[in-house]
Amino acid sequence: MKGESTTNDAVLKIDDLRTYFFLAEGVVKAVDRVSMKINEEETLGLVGESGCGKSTVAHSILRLIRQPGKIVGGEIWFEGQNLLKRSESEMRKLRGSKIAMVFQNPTSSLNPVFTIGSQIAEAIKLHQNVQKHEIKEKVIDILGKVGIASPSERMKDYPHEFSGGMCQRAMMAMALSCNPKLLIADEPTTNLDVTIQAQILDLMRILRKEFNASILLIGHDFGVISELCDRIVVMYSGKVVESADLETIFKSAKHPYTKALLESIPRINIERERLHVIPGDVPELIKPPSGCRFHPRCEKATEVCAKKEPAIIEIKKGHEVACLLYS
Amino acid sequence: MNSRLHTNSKKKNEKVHRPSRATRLFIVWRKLKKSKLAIAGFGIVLLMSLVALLSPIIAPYSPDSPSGSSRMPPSMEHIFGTDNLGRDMLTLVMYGARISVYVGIATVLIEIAIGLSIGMTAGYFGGIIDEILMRVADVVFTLPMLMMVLLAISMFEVRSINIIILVMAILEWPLMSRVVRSEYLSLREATYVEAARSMGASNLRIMVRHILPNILSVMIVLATMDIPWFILLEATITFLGFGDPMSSSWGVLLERGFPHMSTSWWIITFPGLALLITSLGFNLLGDGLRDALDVKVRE
Repeated sequence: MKGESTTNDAVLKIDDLRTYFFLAEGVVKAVDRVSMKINEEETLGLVGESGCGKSTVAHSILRLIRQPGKIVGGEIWFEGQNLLKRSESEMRKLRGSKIAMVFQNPTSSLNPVFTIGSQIAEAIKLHQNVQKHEIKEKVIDILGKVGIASPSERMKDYPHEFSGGMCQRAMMAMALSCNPKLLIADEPTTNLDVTIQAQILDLMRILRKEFNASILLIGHDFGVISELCDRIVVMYSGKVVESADLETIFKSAKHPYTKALLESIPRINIERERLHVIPGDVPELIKPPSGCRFHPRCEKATEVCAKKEPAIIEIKKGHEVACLLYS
Repeated sequence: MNSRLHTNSKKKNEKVHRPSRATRLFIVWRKLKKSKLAIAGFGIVLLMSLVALLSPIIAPYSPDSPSGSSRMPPSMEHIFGTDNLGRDMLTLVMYGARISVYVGIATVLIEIAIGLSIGMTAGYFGGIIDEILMRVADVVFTLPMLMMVLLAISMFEVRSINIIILVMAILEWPLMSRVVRSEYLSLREATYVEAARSMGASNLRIMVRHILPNILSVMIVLATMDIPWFILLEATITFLGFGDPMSSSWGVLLERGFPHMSTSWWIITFPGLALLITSLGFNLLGDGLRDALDVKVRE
């Protein structure tokens, strides 16, 4: 039901996005013709190894790419407008109010010399026209919502007086303070230990309901992603290799890379001698492998794979794969 | 046994001690107190500032008219002796503090205004802007300082202390701008800057509201260390005869006392000592503040 009514109204639609980094050694195609969309109230998981370009996608959405990086092409549609065509000041109004972002280092994402409360107040002040006493109430309210105990006291604390998990909660409070339509969470649990990870994921689940925001959850950990996401996009070396809903990915993943990633999740219920490891490294993006970028590490690679670059095709409704095995 | 139990229960009954939410200034003071040298520096700076502010009230004699005969050695009436015109040296040193402390602080304020704005623009934006601004800074920096100051001052017909202040600040900002630039260069990569940007903060807002408070401690330390440098520089300029004869700073006192050095040591010694102690005080305070202001250094 829900899936049918919402698939057509994408909150965010990325089309053929290309973000390159122009280094002295050459051009790094960090994001190379990537397309994806996030539907309303959907949580999309973006998975891949480090350096596959998933964070670059997130930064491109908010146009936070800095020199020597540049968005060279493509379109990013949000609320009927192409974000890549908007002026910097229009983007500023959008950042934090309509699209907010949570980063992977909660403790360093907060400014060390300001109290938690004043930082959240700053976020509110940037986008909303509210009275001074209202701001304080809002800060206390939102800190309570993200599960900080005695928020009116703790808002006077400095970030170094908060634990990592609490900092991440504060970051979320800041991100959600203006009711964004889209929340980008860039590995929000990576630097936290497992129990705190679980708490943060729980919190995100609650907040998703409360704030009705769509979420783009970025991560390299299928375990974390599967907890929360409705749909998953797998990226490898700057390209999307597979995308499907959560169940399809787990039950009938098609791309050899996705399969290999799934096999490398440690599981208690399956006995095996050693954890599966994908051989080789993520390729250097300066000179990526010819043909399919995964072929040097792929168990099923054939001769064609080194020559022909696979196009992304829909093999089933809502399930897209970029692999020559299926074309 | 009994008494032990008693004290134990007493401790338990005590309210759980939570550190009071001290203001930042208070925390800084508490940290500063730990270093004896810093306290000595703070004391000297405080004393000199008070003397400078209150000299018309606390000075024993008038700085403009003789209060004894010429070149009297230190005595009970004139602790620092008198100069060649019979004026009380203690009074002159006190009034000198007024000018010298003013020179130090005013110059540093102008230096900060120039150095901070140029340094933060260069460091934050980087690239070609940084390149241009820093080459300008390099050029100013390589100029032979003293010669340029003397040259610049002698271009003005009126010898005014304010012109000296302006010239010193304009020739001395490059060092400050370099320090500020390097701070901005590293802090602009901080995650909280990225977070601020992702919240929709503009460049100017990030530079001023998000990064500047983080380098405030560096700025305060730099400023404190630069004050004595400017006081000394002004004294040097004055001693070389390019000063403002109307405002008797310690440098002016030194210059006037110089011809009498062989016969009346006190005329030159006390202003010199005041100069020495004050710059020592500012330097000690600056060192102490460097540690005390660092939020990350726990008590």
